[in-house]
Amino acid sequence: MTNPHWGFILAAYLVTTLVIGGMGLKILFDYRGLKRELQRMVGTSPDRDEA
Amino acid sequence: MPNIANPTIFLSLVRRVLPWVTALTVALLLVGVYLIFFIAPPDYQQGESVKIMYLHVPAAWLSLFIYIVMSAAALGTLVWRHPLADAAQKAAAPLGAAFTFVCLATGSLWGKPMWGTWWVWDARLTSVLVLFLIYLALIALWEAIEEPGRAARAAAIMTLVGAVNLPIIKFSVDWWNTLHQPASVFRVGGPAIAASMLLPLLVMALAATLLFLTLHMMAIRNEILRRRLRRLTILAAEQSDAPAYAAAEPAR
Repeated sequence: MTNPHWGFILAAYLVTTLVIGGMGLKILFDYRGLKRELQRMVGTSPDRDEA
Repeated sequence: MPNIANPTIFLSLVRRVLPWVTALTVALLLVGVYLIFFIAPPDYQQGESVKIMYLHVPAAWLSLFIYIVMSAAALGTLVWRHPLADAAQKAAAPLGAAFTFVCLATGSLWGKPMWGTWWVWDARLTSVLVLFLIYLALIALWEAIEEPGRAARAAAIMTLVGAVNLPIIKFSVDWWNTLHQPASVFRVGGPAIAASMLLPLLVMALAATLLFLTLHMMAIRNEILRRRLRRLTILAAEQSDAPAYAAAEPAR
């Protein structure tokens, strides 16, 4: 870790992980929320019903 | 062959395919990170900073690829008015914005130690910034129009108009005198990168593409469920209003 540019390299990997990981988590939480709402309304698993 | 454009069949396909694509994406990402940090040599000019390129180039590739996917879905919306095309368009815009942001941020983090500056108003950098702003505008448009069909048609027109930026981004390094380097992978005469660096780059590009496909499938599934929820909410509201209308009928 003596290279003077390691800070930039770590920052690049950190930004990428946070942005893309955050996006993935947002999609996952959105799915869980929608599924819960639909289950409350129809009483069955929503992605097995008719469209 | 089943009609995967049917939302119900698409949901069932996602349920079966998603675990495999996710596992493949994670495996490829792990292989890519191993190659970058333990196998790929430092560049003779850039030194270890070349490791940023293994994130920047796949993000740049995806920022364009996602827009092409959105343009194809926009055609599906305008020509066939297909709800799955609407969902594919809407689901892709935030992903495109995220990958374009990563492209700009990692480019900036590479530019500071290599060029001595975080940013220049160079044709390539500026045209990618415009792409990022188009993604943000599309997200805002989707949020601004409540009726999903109308929002999809408006977003589709804007997407197709914005597609004029794609060749500008691709050829900006040839058309103008830019600080950004010309193409070094997809170029006439083959890649200009040593095999020891090209392999991790290709692995990361493939992993990033699979990551996008995974997230896109998940986000399309959300959009289908959101439409279902909206329809059920409207139906429930109509049913709860029906007795009130019936009671009010004789008085009219």
